[in-house]
Amino acid sequence: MLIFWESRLRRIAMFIAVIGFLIVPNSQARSEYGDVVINNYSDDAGMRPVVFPHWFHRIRFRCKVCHSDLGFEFKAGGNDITMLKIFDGEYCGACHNDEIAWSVENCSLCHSGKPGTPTQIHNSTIDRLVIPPGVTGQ
Amino acid sequence: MNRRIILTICLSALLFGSGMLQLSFAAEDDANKFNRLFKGANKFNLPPWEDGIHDPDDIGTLSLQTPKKAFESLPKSRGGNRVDWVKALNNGDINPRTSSYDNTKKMTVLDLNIIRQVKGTMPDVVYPHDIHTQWLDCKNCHPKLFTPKKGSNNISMASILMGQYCGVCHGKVAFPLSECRLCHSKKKTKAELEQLKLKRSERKKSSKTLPDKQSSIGMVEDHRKVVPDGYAETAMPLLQVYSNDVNIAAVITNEGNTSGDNAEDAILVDDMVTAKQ
Repeated sequence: MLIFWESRLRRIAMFIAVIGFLIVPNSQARSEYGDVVINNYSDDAGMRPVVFPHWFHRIRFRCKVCHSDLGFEFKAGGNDITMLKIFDGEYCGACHNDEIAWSVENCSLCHSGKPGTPTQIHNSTIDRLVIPPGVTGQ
Repeated sequence: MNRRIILTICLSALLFGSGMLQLSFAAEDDANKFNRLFKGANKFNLPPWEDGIHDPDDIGTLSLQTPKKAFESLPKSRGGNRVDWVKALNNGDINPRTSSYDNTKKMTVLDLNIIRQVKGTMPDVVYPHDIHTQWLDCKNCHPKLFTPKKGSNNISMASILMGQYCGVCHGKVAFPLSECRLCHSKKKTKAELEQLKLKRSERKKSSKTLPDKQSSIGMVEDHRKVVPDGYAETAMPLLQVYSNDVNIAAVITNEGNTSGDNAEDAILVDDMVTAKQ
């Protein structure tokens, strides 16, 4: 019996590792710093909310391109973005037009958030506070 | 053979499951466990399908680039994305466009450092315009976020934490507030520290009589006065932590009465502009 266990030790260890990995709860604090979830209209429209990766875009553009030239306000959910505006070349549609970047028919690349995820900059400093504003500790 | 493997797997799963169950019960019961309030060590730069906000069932999620892959060649830092974005730009590791279609437009870079004196022994804040204007336009910050006038911005750490002033970007996209020394970078001189010591001893002497409510630190009647709009109710527990923050007292005194005893506070939150050579 002992030999049997020894020979299977590595397999068991791997199995435990896999299970351990699976049961670790997905917490918001693990999302990439600066990722913005935009869920102004998505949930109500039966779409997944949009996840905007700041890191990906700042490798390619200075902040001012979106926040000055395109008029994005510095506030998660503070911009009234609709698909119609995007079709007409406003907001994301200024680049996601099949010329500068891939076009709007790739719905699931942006609308990739977990349903029900609130509009917010996730993993921000305030997100990571032990006592979030409005909650009293013990 | 197969049966043995299956048996082993079942057994280990059972063992592991019961172990975890016990562990979770113990964790709930144990008042003195480690890291009672700690949210857990972070894993950094996880792929989208593991990051907790992307839906792994979405077909697009699996096509997205992983941050780790993109950051491989970039200089590292401690906070946020774990990338030193300023260094990456200066080294030419990244070449972000200055307009949506190309990179021919030149950024208007302003080489001007603003030094903000802060109270206590905390090093003064040096704000470098040049680093910021490599990314941003003047109108991104002025005049909406910062009034471009000496002494007219009552910045406190509490308001930054609540997403005002520097907190519009820092703590959200630019390096987080845990990196204190990146801003608080100008050490107080020996003379300044001596002066502080002197002031403290004077304050100790005069503290036998209760100071008046307006000017004393920690005696502010209503902390909500300095809470940014929309947080009036919710921010209370958070700001209680900061009720001893001298900057808040300074803000209050500036609002109420900037003359007489409080002139000292007004000077301390003043901007000092020094041109870089």
